[in-house]
Amino acid sequence: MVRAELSKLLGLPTAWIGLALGLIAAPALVLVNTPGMRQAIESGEVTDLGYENLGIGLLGALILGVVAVSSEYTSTGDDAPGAHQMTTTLLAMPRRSHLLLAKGAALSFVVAVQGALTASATVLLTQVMLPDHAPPFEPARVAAAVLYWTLLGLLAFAITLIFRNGIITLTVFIVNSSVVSVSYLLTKLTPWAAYLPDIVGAHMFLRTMPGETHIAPLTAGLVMTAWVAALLAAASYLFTRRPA
Amino acid sequence: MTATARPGAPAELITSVHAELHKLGTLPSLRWAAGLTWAATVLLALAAHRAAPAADPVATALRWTQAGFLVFGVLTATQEYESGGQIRATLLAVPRRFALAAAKATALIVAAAVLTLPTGTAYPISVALVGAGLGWLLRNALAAVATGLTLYLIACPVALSRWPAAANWLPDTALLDPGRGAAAAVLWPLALAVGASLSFRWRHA
Repeated sequence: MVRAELSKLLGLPTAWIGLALGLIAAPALVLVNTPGMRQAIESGEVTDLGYENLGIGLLGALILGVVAVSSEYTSTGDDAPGAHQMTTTLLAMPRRSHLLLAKGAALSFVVAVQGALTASATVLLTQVMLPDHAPPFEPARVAAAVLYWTLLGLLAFAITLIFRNGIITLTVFIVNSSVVSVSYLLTKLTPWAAYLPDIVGAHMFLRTMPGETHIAPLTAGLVMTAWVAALLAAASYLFTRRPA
Repeated sequence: MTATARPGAPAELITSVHAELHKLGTLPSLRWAAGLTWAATVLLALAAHRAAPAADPVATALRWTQAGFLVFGVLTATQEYESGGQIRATLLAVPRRFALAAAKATALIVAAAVLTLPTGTAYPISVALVGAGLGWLLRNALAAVATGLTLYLIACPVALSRWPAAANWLPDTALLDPGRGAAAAVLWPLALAVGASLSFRWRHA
């Protein structure tokens, strides 16, 4: 079943856009930002060199998480508006909880492989571009970034499953991953906003974040996992109860 | 046999603009997009006002909720290509493709102007037109939304921090600095509209 879901996911053109975007975005940002980072180093402002650019790579995970669901609900032809692939999928795999597990596993695997490649490439590229200042390669922090992406992919997967519409998920997450995120605005109103899933997750691999709240990486990981688990539970409850 | 008089071109244009406005005003997905955009703008403006009372709260909120106007623009274009293929019925009624493109652009400008009236800036009209241009070129709502949002919210800020001199030519400068970005805020949608109408003219429906 996981193999079937993998081949479906990797057969989607939009999934390849997500993969390509996820692979090039973070390393490209390193190239673009290097002169700015040199200035910042000279004035002594940079603390998370090499890791700060990793956040942008969530774009790929996000698109993969969205299309894994939305492709099933896209209508298959102009003249059959009600027909979508989910009907066929459920004929082949009638147990809905098993189908969700297989889909989640396939998605996590693809995002994790892509994330490991991108994160290592980004940190190594920073060492090439700024050999004097780059921090050593820390496998634990790279692994934390990969975990962050995987969890975000699953989060997008769960929310798309709830709304059955990829546009809402995509808009909310891209708006929130822009240079100044909405969650950051909310942290100015209440410190509890620092525990929103996208902000808390970044604490896993960044040591300094905008805002005052400091959260330990392990706590951050647990809080984000709890968010993802709760949303996945809600999504699978709705998925098993609603008509396909 | 009686020869029916063909109505003049201006009368035809007014009729098709009226038809397009009717579509924009009654489609549920567009109502949802407009309603959610307004709700998000009001909430974020309130939040921004409490966080930084000195700044213009509406402009701060629009930095994020311009995404809503982009989605609105994309949906006005891609709804024709959703299942059911409404574009074929539309083209049966208005076969001249440039005329249809002009009618659609006019209707969208009117609708976006009404939507953006409370914010007191014309900038969101430009965003909605860029969205519509992308929607006509890509014919897929998800792809157009992803491209447009990445352009406005990720590529532009990154380009601005790297090449500050390019600010005059980025489509989103007009929001924060209306004097500098006005030309770009007009040229980007114009270029996309021309490109989209040409591709609409030459591609199959």
